[in-house]
Amino acid sequence: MDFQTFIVSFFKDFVSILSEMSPYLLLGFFFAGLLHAFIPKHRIEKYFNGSPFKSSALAALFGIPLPLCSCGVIPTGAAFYKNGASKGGTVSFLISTPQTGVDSMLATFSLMGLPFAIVRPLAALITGITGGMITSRITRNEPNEAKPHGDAQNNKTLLEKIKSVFQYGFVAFIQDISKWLIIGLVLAALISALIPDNFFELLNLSPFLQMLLILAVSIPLYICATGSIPLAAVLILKGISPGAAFVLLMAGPATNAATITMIGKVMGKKSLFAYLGTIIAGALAFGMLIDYALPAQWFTQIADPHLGHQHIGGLSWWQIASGIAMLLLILNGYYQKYRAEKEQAAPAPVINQQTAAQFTFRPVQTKTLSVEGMTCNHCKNSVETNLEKLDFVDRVSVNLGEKTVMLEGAEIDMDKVRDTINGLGYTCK
Amino acid sequence: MDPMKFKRLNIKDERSMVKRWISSPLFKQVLMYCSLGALIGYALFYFGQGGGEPVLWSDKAAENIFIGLGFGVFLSTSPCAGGRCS
Repeated sequence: MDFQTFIVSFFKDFVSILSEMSPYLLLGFFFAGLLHAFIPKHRIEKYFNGSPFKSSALAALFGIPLPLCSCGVIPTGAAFYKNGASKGGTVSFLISTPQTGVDSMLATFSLMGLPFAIVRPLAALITGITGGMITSRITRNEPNEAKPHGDAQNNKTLLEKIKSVFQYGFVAFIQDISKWLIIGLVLAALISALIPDNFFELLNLSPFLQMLLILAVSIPLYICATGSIPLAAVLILKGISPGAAFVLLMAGPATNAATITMIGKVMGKKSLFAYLGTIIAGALAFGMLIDYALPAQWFTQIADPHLGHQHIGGLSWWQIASGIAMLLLILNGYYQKYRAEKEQAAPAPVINQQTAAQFTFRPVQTKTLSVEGMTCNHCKNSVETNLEKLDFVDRVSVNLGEKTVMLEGAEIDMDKVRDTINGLGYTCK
Repeated sequence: MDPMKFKRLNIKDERSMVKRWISSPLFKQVLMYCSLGALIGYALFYFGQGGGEPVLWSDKAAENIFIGLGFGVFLSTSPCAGGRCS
């Protein structure tokens, strides 16, 4: 294959996968915005206690449709735990939430068909409940350090909530997942253009060995539930077993190095083993179920008409329109992020501190500290919200690009600040 | 102590409305988003064609470019896309 043919083939595959996914992704982003605006997290966390089964089941059921990526689930899960959720409920939430979301369920249906779209949330539910119950059982003698807090009121008006649907669904959420979505699309298009069809069949590996190989790559891999879909679909086209592709869909988004570190640090080693063990066993069990127990044509024939060089009649107008909207929204997300960082990097007006000092008659300090592990808007919001609750903090600003937290206030207690940040699962330098 | 009073300073731009609009940051943003939208529209036309030799231009390409321009205007002027509605 010469270079020009490869480039054309790569872009054709990229456009093909993008146009198949975009309509469903846009719909998913809208639902993500609705969930974010109308179901506040503080209403969810009160259900995360009680009997091991009840708390695990409710946490998994709440977590499945939530549009939280694998990075966003870390501060949310840690905040639930710190606010009084049981360890079992928290682990169940951490297992089930990143595996699926409204957006990824719709995108799975668009590229991989109904059977995968059904098995994915089902696996998230079962592994979430199992992981939660195992954690509750093995940590029943451990003291719960979590402290319940009063229910915060959500003061937003209906109009503000409607605005928040669009602001979150089509800007903030896209900013969080766009990098991983693009990486998934590019990798899928590369594999599709470079690797010959049925390549994995020629390697002649047993499905179980394929699952183990995919599992070894997926556990530390940082990929979101939506970004993993094109990759898994193309791997099936190249001959990998559907069960092994499912292992990627499940273990890829559910675990990564950051989540593993956070659970170990905040909730202890026993919870970490329960979490990892459940995901590994669950991914293999569901992979085997797909490969050996369910009809093969449910999971193999569905990707063929959609991907690669198969489409014959060109793209329809709604695929074109949603493809354009999707790419423009991704570019808009990057542009807004760049503008926000530029505004933040601009020197703060001196008048702020001077006037503050004049009118409050107390010295205003500014402290900046480096924090490891903050990757997305959820991390930023979580750190800012929790630090703003401290009495001595007047203003907090997180810079995700430089991974710094800037605090303004009188007599800032750095030990308390560090404890708060570390308690959320991040590391202060 | 009497509250401080400030006199409002009215400075008006003497250029015409069209010139002010053309030199505004919003116009540049609309232009940038429209160009990107049109480019994406054309790329989707070119790479999204079915089997056979790809053609460089057709009515479908113009249609895609118009869709791209439309989304460009919509997104660049939408307050939510500009982060002004949260």
